Amino acid sequence: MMRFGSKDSFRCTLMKRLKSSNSIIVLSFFFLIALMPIIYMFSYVFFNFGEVYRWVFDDPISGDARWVLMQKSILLSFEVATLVTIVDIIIGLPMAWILSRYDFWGKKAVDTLVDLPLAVPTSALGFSVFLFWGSRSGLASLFGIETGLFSRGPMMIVLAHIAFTYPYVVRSLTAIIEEVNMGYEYAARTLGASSVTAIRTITLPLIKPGLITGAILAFTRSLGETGATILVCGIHETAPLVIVAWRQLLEISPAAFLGMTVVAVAVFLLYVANYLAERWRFPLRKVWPKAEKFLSGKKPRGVRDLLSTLIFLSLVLIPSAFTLVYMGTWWSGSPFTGSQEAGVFHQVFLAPDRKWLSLWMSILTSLEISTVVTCINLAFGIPMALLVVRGKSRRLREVLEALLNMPIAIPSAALGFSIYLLWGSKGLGVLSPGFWLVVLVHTAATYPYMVKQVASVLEGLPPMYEEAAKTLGAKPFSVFRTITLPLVMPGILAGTILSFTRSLGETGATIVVMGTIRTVPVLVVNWVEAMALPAAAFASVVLIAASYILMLLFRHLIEIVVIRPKI
Amino acid sequence: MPDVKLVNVSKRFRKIVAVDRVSLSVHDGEYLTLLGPSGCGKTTMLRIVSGLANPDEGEVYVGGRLVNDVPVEERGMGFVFQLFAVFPHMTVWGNVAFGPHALGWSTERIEEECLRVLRMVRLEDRIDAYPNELSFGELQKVGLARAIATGSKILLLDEPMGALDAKVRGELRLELRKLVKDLGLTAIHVTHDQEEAMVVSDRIAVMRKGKIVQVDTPPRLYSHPKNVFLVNFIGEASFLEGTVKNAGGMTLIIEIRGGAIIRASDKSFRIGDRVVVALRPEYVKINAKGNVGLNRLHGRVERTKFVGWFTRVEVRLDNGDLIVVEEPMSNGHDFEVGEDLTLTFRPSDALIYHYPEEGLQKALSLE
Amino acid sequence: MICRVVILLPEVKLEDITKKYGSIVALDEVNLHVADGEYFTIVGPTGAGKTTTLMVIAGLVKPDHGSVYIDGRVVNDFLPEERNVGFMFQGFDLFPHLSVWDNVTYGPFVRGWNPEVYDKSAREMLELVHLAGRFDAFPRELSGGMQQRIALVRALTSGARILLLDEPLGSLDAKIRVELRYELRSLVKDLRLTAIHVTHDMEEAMIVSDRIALLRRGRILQVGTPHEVYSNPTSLFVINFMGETNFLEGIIKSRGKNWANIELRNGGNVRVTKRRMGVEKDVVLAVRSEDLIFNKRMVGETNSLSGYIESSKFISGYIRYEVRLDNGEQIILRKLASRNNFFKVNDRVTVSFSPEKVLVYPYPQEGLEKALSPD
Repeated sequence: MMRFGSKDSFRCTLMKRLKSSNSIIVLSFFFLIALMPIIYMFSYVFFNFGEVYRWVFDDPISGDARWVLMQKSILLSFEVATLVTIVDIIIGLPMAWILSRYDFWGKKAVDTLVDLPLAVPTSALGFSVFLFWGSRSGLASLFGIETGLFSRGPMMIVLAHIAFTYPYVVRSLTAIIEEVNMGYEYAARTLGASSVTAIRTITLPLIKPGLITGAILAFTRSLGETGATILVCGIHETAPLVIVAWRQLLEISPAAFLGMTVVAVAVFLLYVANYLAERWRFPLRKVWPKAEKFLSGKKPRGVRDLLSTLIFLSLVLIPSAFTLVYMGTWWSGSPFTGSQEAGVFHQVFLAPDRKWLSLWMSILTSLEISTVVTCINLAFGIPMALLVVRGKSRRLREVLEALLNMPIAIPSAALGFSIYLLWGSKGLGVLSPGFWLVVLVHTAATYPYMVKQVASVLEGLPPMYEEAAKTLGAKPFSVFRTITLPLVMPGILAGTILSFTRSLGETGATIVVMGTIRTVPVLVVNWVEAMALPAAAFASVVLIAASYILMLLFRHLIEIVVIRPKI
Repeated sequence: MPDVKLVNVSKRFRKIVAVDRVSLSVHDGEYLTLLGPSGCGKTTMLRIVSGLANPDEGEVYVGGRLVNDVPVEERGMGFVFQLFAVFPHMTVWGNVAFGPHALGWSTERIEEECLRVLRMVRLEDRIDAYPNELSFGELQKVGLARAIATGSKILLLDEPMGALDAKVRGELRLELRKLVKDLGLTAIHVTHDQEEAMVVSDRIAVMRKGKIVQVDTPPRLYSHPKNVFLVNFIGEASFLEGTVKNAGGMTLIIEIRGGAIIRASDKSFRIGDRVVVALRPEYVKINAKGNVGLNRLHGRVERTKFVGWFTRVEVRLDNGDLIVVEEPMSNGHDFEVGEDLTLTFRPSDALIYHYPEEGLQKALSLE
Repeated sequence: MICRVVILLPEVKLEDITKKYGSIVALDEVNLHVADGEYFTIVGPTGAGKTTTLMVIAGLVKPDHGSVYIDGRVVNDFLPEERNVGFMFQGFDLFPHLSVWDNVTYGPFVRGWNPEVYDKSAREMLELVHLAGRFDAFPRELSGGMQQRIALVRALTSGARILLLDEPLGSLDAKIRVELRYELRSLVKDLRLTAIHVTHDMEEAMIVSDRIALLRRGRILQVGTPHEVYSNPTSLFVINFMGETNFLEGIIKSRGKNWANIELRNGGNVRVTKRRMGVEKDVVLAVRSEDLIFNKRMVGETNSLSGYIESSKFISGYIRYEVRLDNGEQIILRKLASRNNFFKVNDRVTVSFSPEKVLVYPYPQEGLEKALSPD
């Protein structure tokens, strides 16, 4: 109840007003950046439905070829995403277990290596995967095969997607496995359950939320992936690719329609998946004491751990990092023909088209964009996290959480496209393709990551510290500055890493809105398409190095800054 | 003028009434404890006083001034939290100086006052330590020092001993009372531990299910508890059920199950009333030499347990009821299980209550 | 006189158990034996190693040295699930996603027993703790006291004869804790189990146990019945851990076969009859607060000290007096409350104690404060 009249209560209401205007600014930002474009895309389709209809279903030249293509591509996207998710869970769970429960020499190194694919920008990763599985310099060279083990197509898309979604799954699982109270497992063991039985009947059901989060993350990332997919798809096309293609052909209406469809289907599927996952219970009715006891033994466990490590190496790590190997072998010339001009060094630095200059410009552009994006994310993301976790209205909190999932669930190409649609010549006409549009797109794509990271740390922070500060006389902003912020720092740092590296590696949406500027990932795509593979490898390596160093730096910072409270 | 006053305060969480129209006055310089089982509303009350929670109804006065709309940071009350809430990213010094800094004191004043307070809790040589280097007892002292460093005259404590070992608890609560009294503070302390309440308080307010059941000094609360719940909650008691056979006259005559007669001196009952007789273990004597006017009950030893200072003897009466007796070690006797004996107690030591409507079990229940 | 000594096979035995975590010694050559059907309690401050001891017995922690025997057999290489020892964890750790019934029957279930076999006994056990009606409830719907009882039943349904309890009452309200202590002991005794109970609360240990072991910094200080530990505490730390004790420093002036005369540091003379020291001269005398009595007639005599009442506090049936002695020291005295003889603040009093009630210890090398501190 507000009572006017006394000086205290006036100040109180002023603070409340300011606080709520803060919230309004933050909410508007989110709405503008991420939600409005999508809404606009939907409305564009509805308002121009006649035109859309003609382009998609009744084109004078191709008939409903575009509709057919749409169906095919959507189907492919979802098939790939489903397969990738299932494989990720199967191979990721044992690795997450190893990382959370075991202690061994070199564990830290393995831990950071699991994150490597995250640091590799997707186009570079796609390129690397292609080199490893599909070119004669890769795995095929061990067997003496001329052309490569796989050709571009769905199989390679799956392999590429597995590589970069693996870290998401492993991280989500590790986080929740570490949080589970070991006491439950101990209790189960003392009651007679073998290790495997205890994990199956007790721990797994308890980490279900982590499994669901990891699965959803993997699914949506795979669904929205564009950069890597472009390089490994061959003639097959996933939905994001089609959007990019149509946009480049300036076939706006069908692109909008596809974008809308993909968004709608993705969101729908997500809700269904979430609903089902909540309801699904682990089968707990049966036990197999003898079999599970055997599986708990030292040897089977050793086999399982070895297998997980091998799979990690062969499916995730090596393919992701293969560009380095490639660059090494091709540095001064082709290992097959010996020609110097085919070598990395020559192509980048000595060739007349001065690739090194384009690379240098792109590096600067990429860094500029990612820095601006990260700063915006920090400024608007931290307050949003506060709203999501500490907001007064429960309903608002729930709605916000759901809405924050949207930009991640939507393929970046679709998101980029909708932003292009809203702000570009077909919409408000305020921005044309170029630097600021790219910044906008990257912000929309990375903002939820920042918010989620900060929010999850904030959620784990007991309110008592802030309450104590208040009782000691600190004003709300002072409490935020001296207590909340330092204690939430690990989340902020994690969010910064994610935001920066995601932006650095963003390809699909960037292509849609970049105009004439080039970021490094886009450069990689261009050079691969022009068959300048060694140069592309070099650019990839530069990008990977930059991202990885940054990640290590921040990881190190987090270690210093992380405070483990006694209670 | 009472320093803290609550008038008809209520607070609901969804459907549950946590605090139910409670009024309470805490006098200047008084150490008052809110005592009650978990969930009785005592912590909510404390948070309402501090401003960390807002009442749905009612007023809170501090020093005569209405403070309902005064935000937490302006109420100037020290608060000690159960899980310490010591800022993990600051040293002991940083924690204790936080309040003075927030108030904008001069550097000299901060140094002087904080050192003074740290000396009082004997932590002056740990000022550079971080919380993860301290024991729980030391952490609690930091919380305490921090809460009083700004010179607040009111100290609120939310189950401050909850996370501590029994031994440390015992020592710290004596120090706590001494500190509060030496500084002349008004303290409101919340706990579920009645022994702790007895040690630290001037007065105790017992709460149950959102209401205050009795407010009294510890000795009076112990000797004159208002209902069966309180007899059992403060200290220990054995219960006998019976009916009043004769009232009027100097003594009350009660017949208990099995026919034995008990005399009591409480005169506020009538013939036919169904009653409960409560006996504290230390008032019941075993095989004491005959005295006129004492109540006598006969039974057998069911269990005995040496507890140090005294032996706890459980006696099964002839009528089946169980009485617990505390026999001081100084009497030297060792009791055998199955041994016959006679219990005696004075009529004035028997506490009599009307048989509770909801049944004795429910009336005593703590959960 | 013929003495027949019957040796019972000790149900649980620890031999020279050592466990280190890095440079921290959690358990230091711990030796224990718990007899069949005994209620054994390990008491000590937080961090003393009590929980680690239980974990070693259960097989959840592997000791660096030493052997664990259960029923005469070395079980070091037995996995936790093979030891058939019931464990009640601090905080109970009831499986949150399973109902009460599923929690309670988990043990037999994972061992692959036939439901017909364990159904009846599980139901009976729930009846025993008055919770048969809540079998389909989930742990989060139950109160703390109820959860504790469910955890107890769960630990016993697979037929375990040994019960390990890790601060089983720690998370409960003080009053419930006090009530459940008796229930716990009764239940264990009625079911003829062997129990090893761990706590930091000495009062709880005294009430619940047949024998007590005091643990400090991974070392066992003393083992005995409550009576033995109370009457004959073997170290300053032990006597300090039980209730409130007064410590007086002094020097032995003269001694005989079973007596000694001590001059207190701050003045006063004490005669003691118990002897625990060797040839030291510097000693610490310990007198429990409940062993002191007020006696006006003993002014100036040995074993009596004069002073005035500094404070008095009524606490549930007894009164705690702080007395400031004339020699400047403060002592604590506890007296059962009774109708008469209340003392008021500033009253002059004389405090005396019997020579048998004084315990003598050599003055500790590390100083008195360190010797008494829990860590």
